[in-house]
Amino acid sequence: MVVEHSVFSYGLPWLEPSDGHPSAGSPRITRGFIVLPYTDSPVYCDECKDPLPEVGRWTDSSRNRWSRYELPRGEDDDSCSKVYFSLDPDNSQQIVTIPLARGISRGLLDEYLEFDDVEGQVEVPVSLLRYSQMRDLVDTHTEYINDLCDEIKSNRYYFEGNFGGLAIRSVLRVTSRWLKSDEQDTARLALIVKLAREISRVLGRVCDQPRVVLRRAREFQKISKIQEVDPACLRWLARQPGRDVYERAGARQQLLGVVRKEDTDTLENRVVKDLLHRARIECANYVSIYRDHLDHDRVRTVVDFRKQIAGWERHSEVSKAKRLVGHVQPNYVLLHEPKYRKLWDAYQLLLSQQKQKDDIWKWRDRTFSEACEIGVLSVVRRISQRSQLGKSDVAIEQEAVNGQFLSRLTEIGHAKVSTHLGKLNLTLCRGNQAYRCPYVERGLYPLSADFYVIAHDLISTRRIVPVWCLFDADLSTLDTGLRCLEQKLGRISTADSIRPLVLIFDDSAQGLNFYDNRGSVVPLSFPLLNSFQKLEQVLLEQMAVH
Amino acid sequence: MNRSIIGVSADSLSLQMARNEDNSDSTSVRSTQLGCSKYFPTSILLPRFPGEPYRFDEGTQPHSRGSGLAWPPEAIADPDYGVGRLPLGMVIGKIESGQRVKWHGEEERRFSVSDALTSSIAQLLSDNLFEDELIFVIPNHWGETLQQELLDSFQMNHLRCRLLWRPIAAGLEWINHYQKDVESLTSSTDAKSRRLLSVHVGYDQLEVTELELVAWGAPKAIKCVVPGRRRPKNSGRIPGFGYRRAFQRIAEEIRQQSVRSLTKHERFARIWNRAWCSSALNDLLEQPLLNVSTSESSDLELESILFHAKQMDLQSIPEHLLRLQQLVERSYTGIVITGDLAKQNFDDSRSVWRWITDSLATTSKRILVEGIDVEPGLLPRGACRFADRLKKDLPTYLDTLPKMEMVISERGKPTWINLLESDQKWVDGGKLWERPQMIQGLSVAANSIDLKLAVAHEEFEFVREVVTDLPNHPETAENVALSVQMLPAQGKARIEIHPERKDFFGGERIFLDWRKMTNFVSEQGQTVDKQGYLNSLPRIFPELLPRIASKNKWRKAIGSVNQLRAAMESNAPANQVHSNLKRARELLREKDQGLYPQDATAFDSEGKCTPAYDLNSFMEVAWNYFLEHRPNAFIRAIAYTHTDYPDFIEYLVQKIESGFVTEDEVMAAGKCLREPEHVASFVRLAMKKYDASGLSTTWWKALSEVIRFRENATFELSSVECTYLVQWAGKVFETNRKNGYGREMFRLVCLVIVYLLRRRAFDDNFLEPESQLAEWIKSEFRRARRDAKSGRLRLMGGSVDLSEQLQLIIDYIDRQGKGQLLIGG
Repeated sequence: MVVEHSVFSYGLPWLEPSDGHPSAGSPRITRGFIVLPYTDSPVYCDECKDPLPEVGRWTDSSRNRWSRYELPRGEDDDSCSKVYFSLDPDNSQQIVTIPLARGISRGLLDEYLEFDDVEGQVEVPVSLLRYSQMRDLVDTHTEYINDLCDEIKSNRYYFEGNFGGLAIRSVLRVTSRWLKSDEQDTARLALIVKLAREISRVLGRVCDQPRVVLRRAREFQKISKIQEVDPACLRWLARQPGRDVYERAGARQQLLGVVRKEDTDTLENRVVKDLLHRARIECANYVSIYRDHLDHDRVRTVVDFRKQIAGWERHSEVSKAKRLVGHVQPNYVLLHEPKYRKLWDAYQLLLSQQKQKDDIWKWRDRTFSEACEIGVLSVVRRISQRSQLGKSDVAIEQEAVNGQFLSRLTEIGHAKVSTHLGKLNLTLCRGNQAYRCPYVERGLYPLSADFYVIAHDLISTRRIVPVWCLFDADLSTLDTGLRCLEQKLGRISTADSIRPLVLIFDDSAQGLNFYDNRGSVVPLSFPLLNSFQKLEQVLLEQMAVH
Repeated sequence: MNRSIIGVSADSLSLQMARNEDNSDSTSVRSTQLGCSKYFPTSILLPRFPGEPYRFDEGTQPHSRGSGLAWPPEAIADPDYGVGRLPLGMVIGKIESGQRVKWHGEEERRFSVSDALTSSIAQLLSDNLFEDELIFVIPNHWGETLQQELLDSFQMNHLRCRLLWRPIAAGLEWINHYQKDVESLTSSTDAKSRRLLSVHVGYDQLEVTELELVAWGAPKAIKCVVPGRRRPKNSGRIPGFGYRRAFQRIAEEIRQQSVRSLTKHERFARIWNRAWCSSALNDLLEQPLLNVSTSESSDLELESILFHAKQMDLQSIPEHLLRLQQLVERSYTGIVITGDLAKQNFDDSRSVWRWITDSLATTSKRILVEGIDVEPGLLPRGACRFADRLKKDLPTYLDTLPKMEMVISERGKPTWINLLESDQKWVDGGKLWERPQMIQGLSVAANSIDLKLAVAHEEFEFVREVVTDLPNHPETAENVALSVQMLPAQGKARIEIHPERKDFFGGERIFLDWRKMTNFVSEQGQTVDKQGYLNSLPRIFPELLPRIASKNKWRKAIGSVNQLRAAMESNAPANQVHSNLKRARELLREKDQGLYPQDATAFDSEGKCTPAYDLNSFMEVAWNYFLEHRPNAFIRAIAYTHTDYPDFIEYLVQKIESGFVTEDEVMAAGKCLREPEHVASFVRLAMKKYDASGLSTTWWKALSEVIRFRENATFELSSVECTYLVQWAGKVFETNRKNGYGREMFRLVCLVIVYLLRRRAFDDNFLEPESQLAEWIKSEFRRARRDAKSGRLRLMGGSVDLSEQLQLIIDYIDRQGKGQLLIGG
């Protein structure tokens, strides 16, 4: 198989190998995908440890089978990545270099936005300001999932439990929590809040009196003050001109001798310094999300903590320690000294959370898609009668896989609704399950929607809403993309029952209709719950629900 | 600790429970139901996620898993790929069938139904897992294997559980309901009138059990009436009709709704959805049953997969109940009717329970119907009553233990003995039964790593073998004894191995490991019954080889015998009597070739015939005639009856003691002597004769018969005498072999040698296989086999392979004999 003719990369989910589109392979990629002939073997790229997620699978008119894999976002405008795959039966690996959608690294973004929030000293480029909302949305979604995982509320009717690395929660619980996310306890009990409460006192004591070591150094001293010399000092002395010590001491009457000095540059203090830095960034993130709730107790705690950290960074001896480099192997002090032990534990938690955030950030398009999916699921649950939907199990991974927490094992039962078309079942089908779903028309498979909302009865599909989520849409090419989508939808035999929906994360954009007013582009903003009211309206119309 | 007792019954479409708090009065038992009868039947959801527990699905809406819809994938119900849902209504049936449930979700998996049930209960009670004690109601016919499987599953899920028979639970609740009436029964002496009929009318089956009401209690304690359960009869169970009614109705409904014809798989999924994920089955209970004739279910296969229960049309039930009429009384002290369909009515407003009792032609003044006279949940409430009585140390119920036998060696002879109590004897239900005596006389062979015991259990058709690993391997044979304990209805008996040396197992207690019980397979690779097992055991001496009675030969001879009797009674002329005697002798002597290779004549070696004949009465007439006339042919003719007529025996004994016996008397002694001392006298006379002049064929024949017919023939003989006899028989054998004679004498001495081995029953050291004599005899037999093979020795054996029989005799001498000898005929 000739690789060059069978690998295609695209910037919109619905584009196919046969399409020539401006976003294909260009820096203006809205969302990166690679289309490969179908293979059983996993496909990898340099940017992530997990195999690339397969988001679509279909067979074209020439009976060629294709798979679409999503790519992570790059960390700058010109990022590329090597993609590794195997198409041959002999399993020989092939490599192609693919351009990635533009982006920014999470660390850099946090640095920029942190200064903006606190000091206002650095001028933040306007292009980065959009990322602030994206970051907040991603972090909010992560916190929401963590909250779900933290608490098990199982009862006879709605089962919940944690096992095998999965947290099983009922759809009722998942959607109830999502729908009530603005009602109570607005500022979530995030890790940074817990740290602010638990370690600020210990951190203050450590920063005031950091652990020091007496380090030997060679310094020139008055002859009378020298108390210790070592062989190096003696060698130096021997090299000096003069007949005795006084002549060798020269005009200043100083010789090289060993002195002992207190030094804070120890591994444990380097860890504390790094902890201060990371905690400060995390505080900034938290405050950024809840900047409208500054009077909330938790937010105030975090703001105060951030100020304390800034003070310690300016005045504490700990700041004189060097930066941490590479992976840290804890020493005896970090493991057994009570104060440092507590800080070490906090540091590890923070590190783990930040790693998770970094990983998710690369896949933020998928995180956005998952947030929208849960939002739509919540809407469906709210508008439907009591049905199987609420009892279905949502399987949540403990750590995000390619930006998504919902396991591929998640399967959601149908809801019952009254529509203009009669009493129907509403089913939400995830994009990667579409090829198995009897209600999804085969022609929709290549368009790789993120998920589908389907109204059907026992026999046939009455309405189907394929939903595409574009987190960082390039509005200049979107219009062309929509035209292309219209053409594709028009070729499907059941085109009349299809109501396409494109969700874009851009509060400045206007909602628009396409596909003869059967399709809608709905702009969303942070927080999602607020903008979902208009989405609910659109969805009700599209599903013909009373 | 305030422990809760929970009665649980899974005999319904939903799990029924009753709770009896520790300090509460026994009358305050509260029953609840898992799942609501208005909605869908309760099911167990099979796990799909890694580590997911089993759990019940209840509430207003079913979970999507296994709901029979087309989406999501976990909802799919398919006869080939299985379903992710296990409806409670089929759990008991599935456990009984021993099947594991298959479900092809992400990958094909098989699930144990007992584990599914017990894990789901554990999940339900997870808050108080260690405080609660369950009493789980089981069908009356469940054997120990099923009980043990369920108990093991409960234990695996950290649940304390006892099992209780379904009719007993119903009986206890009936007793509680008719408390006052029952008290008066205690004083009643008419045991026959104190019987209770328990009828369970479930969707799946109909079970009729007769219980006895017994006034029971410790000596000097107040007696109270408890139900007593005899061993269950299979005839008491008949297939139900509930699922078939549901199936017919749902199938018809779906047929009407469908615009196109459905495939088998679609039809299965639709019916499954309606039956197990909607209120269809419960709706059936709300509406009267149509007592009209319906056509036989058109798709029995589909019905059986959907409900996993053998079903019948409603119209076929009375026919089966009619058969049950013979097993039940016309009137009972009480009748208790349980089950989902007990309260159901027909469209002609006749109730189902009335229809059943009418069909059984039985009645009672005290009838208790679940759902009519008392709230549903009768069985779990009865289970709570049981626990309550047990806690108060009151009698609970009476049970009979299953029949379980094992083989022990009794005087060198393997014999089946009953390990448990006879099925006629009551044992206290809920209390530990212990065998009064330990089973002695067992030993573990040197260097054994395990102990193998063969068990014949009423549950199994064939003999089973239990292998128990031993912690120590004895260097020499170690004597062990077994103690047996059993809790009625609580799984397998506890059999402990007690070594003679107390410290042999290093302080460890070793019990028989029932999990390692498998069918015993003989060397021929076949499973065997009890007799087959005995035959397969290596023995130190052969089984007796008695002569059996031939019906045909007796039918032929009876006329002559009657004529003879008439002639003797009428004092007919001597020549007529003589002629009758000769005729009778010939007919009594004739062997039935149809029963070959068994040795069969008109009378068996115990003097019995078929049909029975009063031989003693005949002998009274004949003996008087003999005393008067002394006809020549008399002794020989009478010998063939193998009679034990005392005067005749005394006559023979006198002759033997006198040392002068005719050939006829020798022959009669061989056939008729029974007492060991008489046999010993006869053998000693034979030895004297041998010393003097050798023995004739008649003597050898008589000797062979007396030792092969009589159990204790060698008891009074010493081992030395037997050794001599073996030696002499060996010499005769050798002479015959060398001369190439393989005829009657050859066979007779073979028989004498091999049946003298029965002396080992009284002296285990008799004719040690390595002794000089044994080695010589064995070598002679081996030579005889070789000679027979080469044609130098012509063996007379008909269809029996005498060469093989010679090898079998060698095996017996070597204490390794297996199976019956066939050379006696």
